[in-house]
Amino acid sequence: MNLLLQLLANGIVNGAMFALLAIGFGLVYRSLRVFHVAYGACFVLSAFVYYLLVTCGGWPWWLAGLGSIATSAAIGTLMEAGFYWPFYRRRISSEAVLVASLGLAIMLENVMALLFGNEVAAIPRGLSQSVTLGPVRLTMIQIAQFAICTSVASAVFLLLRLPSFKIVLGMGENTELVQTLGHSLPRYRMLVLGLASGIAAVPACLVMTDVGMDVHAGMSYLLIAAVAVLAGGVARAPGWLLGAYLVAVLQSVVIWKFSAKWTGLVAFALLLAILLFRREGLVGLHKRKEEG
Amino acid sequence: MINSISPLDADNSGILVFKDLHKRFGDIAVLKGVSGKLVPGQISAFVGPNGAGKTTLFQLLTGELKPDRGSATLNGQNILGSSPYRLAGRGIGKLFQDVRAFPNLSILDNVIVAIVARQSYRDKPFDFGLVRNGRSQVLAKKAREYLSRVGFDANEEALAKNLSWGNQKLLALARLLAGEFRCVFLDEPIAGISTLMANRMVPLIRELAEAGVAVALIEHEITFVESLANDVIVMNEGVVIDSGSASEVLSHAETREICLGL
Repeated sequence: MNLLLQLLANGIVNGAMFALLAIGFGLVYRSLRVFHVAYGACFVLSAFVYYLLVTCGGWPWWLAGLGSIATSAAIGTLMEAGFYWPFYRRRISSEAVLVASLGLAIMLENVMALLFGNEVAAIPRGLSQSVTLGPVRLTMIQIAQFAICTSVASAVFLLLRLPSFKIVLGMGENTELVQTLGHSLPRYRMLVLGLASGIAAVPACLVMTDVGMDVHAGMSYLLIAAVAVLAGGVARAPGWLLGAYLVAVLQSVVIWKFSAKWTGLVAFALLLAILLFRREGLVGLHKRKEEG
Repeated sequence: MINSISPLDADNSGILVFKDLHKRFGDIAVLKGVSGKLVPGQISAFVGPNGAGKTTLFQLLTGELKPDRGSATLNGQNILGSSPYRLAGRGIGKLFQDVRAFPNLSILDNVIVAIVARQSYRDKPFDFGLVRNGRSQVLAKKAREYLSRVGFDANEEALAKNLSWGNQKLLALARLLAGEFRCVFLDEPIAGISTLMANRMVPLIRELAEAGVAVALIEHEITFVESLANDVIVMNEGVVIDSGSASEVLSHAETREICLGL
């Protein structure tokens, strides 16, 4: 029982990080209708920027974190301006954009492999202090991960409540109407990609500080983000959080009864189950009867 | 004879003047030199059979399409080739033929999005308005005023996707009012709605014109045109075949027969 509680606690901490990952992915998918495959590579890239700033630059962790967030946001913005926007302007199909995004992800991954090698990189640290709460023991890094990610997620949700961000949500529903009302589509698209990439940098830095990462980790993190958004329900941001926590807790708890090697399967299984039995997601919007 | 009627004289006295607009889609010439003007405070109705080029003309003037040839100016400044959001920023609004809304946003938020756009481009064009628009209560109050003006009686927190067709039209009109445009294009504003709902829209459109807005509308319903329009422009096969005051043009038997099927 104690083990289950410990695994649940670990799952909740991971859930906080997955939630941020899902918010970034969900923002892009919901408002740009782009399945941003390169998001995973962007996530890894921001982790390695953090790694470089701390290990080579000697920056303090918080400054390196801010540097990584800023770099990631800039890369996301450039990605939109130089990559996704030309596709959008030429009315390229979303399927073709998805494949192109996959190509971009592979390219980024290979460039990172050339620069950083294929080994796992981690920020050198001593043994972390831990806090015991009844049967549950959490390291200080885990507590920091949960606190930082929850704070950032709360800030993003406050941001989403601003009237200007209703445009961001509306953008995915009717792009033409957004423009006809006078909103600059290129600017808002860049804002979304920049924000999403900046958000993803937060858990990236925290993972790099804890267990480390290799340059090929992007696809598995992308899968987690995508499953969280699709399972939680694309239309509602709270659903992305629910999906993220569900994936994280299930991944953690599966170790209790099975083996750690089965954790990767959990995300797929959850996605299949949701798509088969509740296609609008866990927090999907109710449809009119005639919509079917 | 229809052919002897000269096209609308396109001088520069109107707020929006367009001259000799041409547009082809492949081998098909949809517009073959259309000229005209939209005047502040006036309602100009564009009538004609399907395929006459009315919607294409609106799409050219609202930035959705680019013409092959011709010119269009708003207060003397070129507007052709500008993107829809830039034209909206310069005061050109549009009500789409197929009702468009943000389906998963609430009714209130649908109007707020229009108000935020107007504030953003009029106050600070390069500002995302993230902080300035944070006073959501003020915006909500304004949005309610616009909804009230169009006589909207549905729950403001309901999602737009759950509205009836007629109410979605009213919502679109509220959004158009919230944009405070100087020139608006209404593409079949009463298509598919009940007579009762259409009668609610007539005074609202008239109010827009009375407020000094140049209103252009496409409509097939002749009684609606007669009750509303100051000017009528009749189009057929990509050209203007008749134009003038509504009473004059609609009295031409041949125009009524060919274009309105009467």
